[in-house]
Amino acid sequence: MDLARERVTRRVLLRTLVCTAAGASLGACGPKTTPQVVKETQVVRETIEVVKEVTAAPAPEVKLTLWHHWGGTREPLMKKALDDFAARNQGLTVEPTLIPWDRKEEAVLTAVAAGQAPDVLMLNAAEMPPYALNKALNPIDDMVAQVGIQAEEVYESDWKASSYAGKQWGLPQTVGGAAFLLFFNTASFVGAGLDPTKPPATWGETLEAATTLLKKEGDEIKQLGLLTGVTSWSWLNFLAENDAAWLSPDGREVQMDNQGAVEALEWIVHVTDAQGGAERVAAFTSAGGDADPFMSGRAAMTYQGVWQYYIIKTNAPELEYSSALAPLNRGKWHEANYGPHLYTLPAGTKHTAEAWKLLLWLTREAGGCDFLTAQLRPSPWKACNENSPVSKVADYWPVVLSALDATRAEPLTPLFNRFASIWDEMLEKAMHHQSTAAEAIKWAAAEMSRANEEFWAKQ
Amino acid sequence: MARLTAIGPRVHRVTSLRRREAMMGFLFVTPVVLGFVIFNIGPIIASLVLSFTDYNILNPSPRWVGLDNVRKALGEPLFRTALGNTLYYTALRIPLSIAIAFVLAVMVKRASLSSRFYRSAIYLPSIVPTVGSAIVWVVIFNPQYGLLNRALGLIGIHGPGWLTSPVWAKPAIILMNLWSIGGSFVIFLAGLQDIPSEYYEAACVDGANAWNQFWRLTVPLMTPTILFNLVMESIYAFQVFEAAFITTGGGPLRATYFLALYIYDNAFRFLSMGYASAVSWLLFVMIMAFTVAVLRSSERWVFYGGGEQ
Repeated sequence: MDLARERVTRRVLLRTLVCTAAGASLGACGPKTTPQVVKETQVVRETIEVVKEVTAAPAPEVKLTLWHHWGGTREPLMKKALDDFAARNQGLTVEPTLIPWDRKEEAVLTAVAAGQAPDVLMLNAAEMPPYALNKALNPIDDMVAQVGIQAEEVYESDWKASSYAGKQWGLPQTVGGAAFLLFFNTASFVGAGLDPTKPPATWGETLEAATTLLKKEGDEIKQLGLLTGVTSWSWLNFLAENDAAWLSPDGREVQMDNQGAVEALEWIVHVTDAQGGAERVAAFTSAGGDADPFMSGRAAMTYQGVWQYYIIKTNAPELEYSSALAPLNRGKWHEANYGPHLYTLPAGTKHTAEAWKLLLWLTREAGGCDFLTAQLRPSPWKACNENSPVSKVADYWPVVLSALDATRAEPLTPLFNRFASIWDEMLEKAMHHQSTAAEAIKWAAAEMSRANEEFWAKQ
Repeated sequence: MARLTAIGPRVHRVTSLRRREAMMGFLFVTPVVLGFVIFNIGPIIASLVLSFTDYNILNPSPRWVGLDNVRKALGEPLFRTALGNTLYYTALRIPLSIAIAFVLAVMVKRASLSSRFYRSAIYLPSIVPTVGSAIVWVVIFNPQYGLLNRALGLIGIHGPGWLTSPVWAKPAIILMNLWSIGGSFVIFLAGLQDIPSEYYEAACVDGANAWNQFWRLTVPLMTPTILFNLVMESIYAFQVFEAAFITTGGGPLRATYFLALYIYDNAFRFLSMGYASAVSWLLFVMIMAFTVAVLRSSERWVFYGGGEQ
């Protein structure tokens, strides 16, 4: 053999590499099969009969894709729920993808637009309407009816939040209520001469308690009385507590220019000013972990959701605290439900029946219930809460259940993100005293109306 | 004829070799070219077309609206706020980053013994992901327990709210981004090392002191590098996004709401991809106009050596 002739040139090498890569890619794209070995008699050349073990055409394994936002300490819990699902459903596996919360829009929207959406998609109810309106999701009414799911199985505000434009688009995994509870440091209460068994129940009492609990050394705030953490999303809670409207039930008319809304904003400004003003109070950002003002004892009271119990247990187990329903002014609702997390079926899913199975598992069935129980939080599915082991160990459970019943269902709108952006500016205008509360509300209502009219005119 | 016969096959061999080398060259650059065409040129052209449409990313049927998006942007108060913020940021960020990177490069070159350490120390922040560094800066800027205000307090200055103050938020973002001037610094350092030492020796012989050497020798010889960094820095500055997106979300009171944030919000939060594309092209036109103006002006202030200006 002439080795010189047989030497591998760059061209031959490249060609070989390209062919190998192409072959490997094609092989990887092929369907994965579950090996089921059967014996098959095969006739071969020269009519010799041989019995050969071959891999027969089995039922293909279905790999479902799921996009969710459960990072941090919740990720292993989610993994367990998905492993349990796979164990109970032969031939079904789930490939989860964690989508960071702060970049969810670009990830989800681009995937949906490119026809690359997952089989099951976690979506907050507040953000669901544009997807529903643009047919980017499959309605699930037929499947819900087929399984026989009743509205009464779920808290009213959570059930309402999963429907839009007369159709149901998903099932809730988490509650949208109990998202705005008053958490308070009992040691700070005792230290300031307040009774921790009687937390503030009205806005007036809350303002008074916040002022009493505020600790300053010179110009430096050592302990904030109340961290309102008011943002666009939580703004609706203050409206609910003051029985103020903001949008008609069909979402077509903005109704926020009202006295109740002005009072709510005025109260936020009062609480902020009483503690040193917007710039000082904003320094107490909720950064989580040790940096969290409430968990580190730098804020005596804060508004937080039901998820906070687990976070405190994980990060600050020694913290002496309790919780109560959010204080009211003249409303009967303690908070607003602007969005439980739903699981939805994006349009174009290739495995609708299997995806529906997973959706049910993560919401109505044990997968969702266990996932929430492990986090010491309630489920939107009442049956899960009635038998929850958390109810036996958590003294806050009655508060949580009361909150779920005292949560106002809010109208859904495809313009929620745009409105939220307007509310952010409105809150800052008032809190930084660039305008009065009444002026800020008037401006925000006008901006919302302009956006709303422009949007619906195009539909 | 004999000569031709002798040279002929050699010429042929050389041509064949060149052709093979060219083919190999094309083969190796093909992935990059294809990637650029598919992932850069394609979206650029698509965004230009989309900028003339009313396009909601969830709805695959854009509606032609001509120049309506541009007209809407120019009449939108929030666009003007974002534009003002971006121009403010650019106007302060560019001279500061160029001046600081240049001065640091000169200092590091002079302190030749420890320059390896300083080179690394100054360059390192520019390769730290903005997400990580932004969180550190949030803590540094915290008016209540942040390092910066504590340090200012030691010399009797009552620090502002920085990121929570509508007045100080923009300067805070500028300060935060100045931390990552490592790229410009390294380019300046390379430029300084290219200046022949004979020039300085000659200047010394002529009696020029350090100050005169800097202004009459270093600065003129560095003007091509300054021009390059100026263009690059302006492109980055006009597109400021991440630091504000992570730390302030555009607040307080829209003080850090830059054009890139405005584009992002419209594209992904408000689902107005057509409008966002139009604003992106307005931003591109601004950057292009600024770059052309800088390049035109360079004829008057950039010194390329050899008597050619």
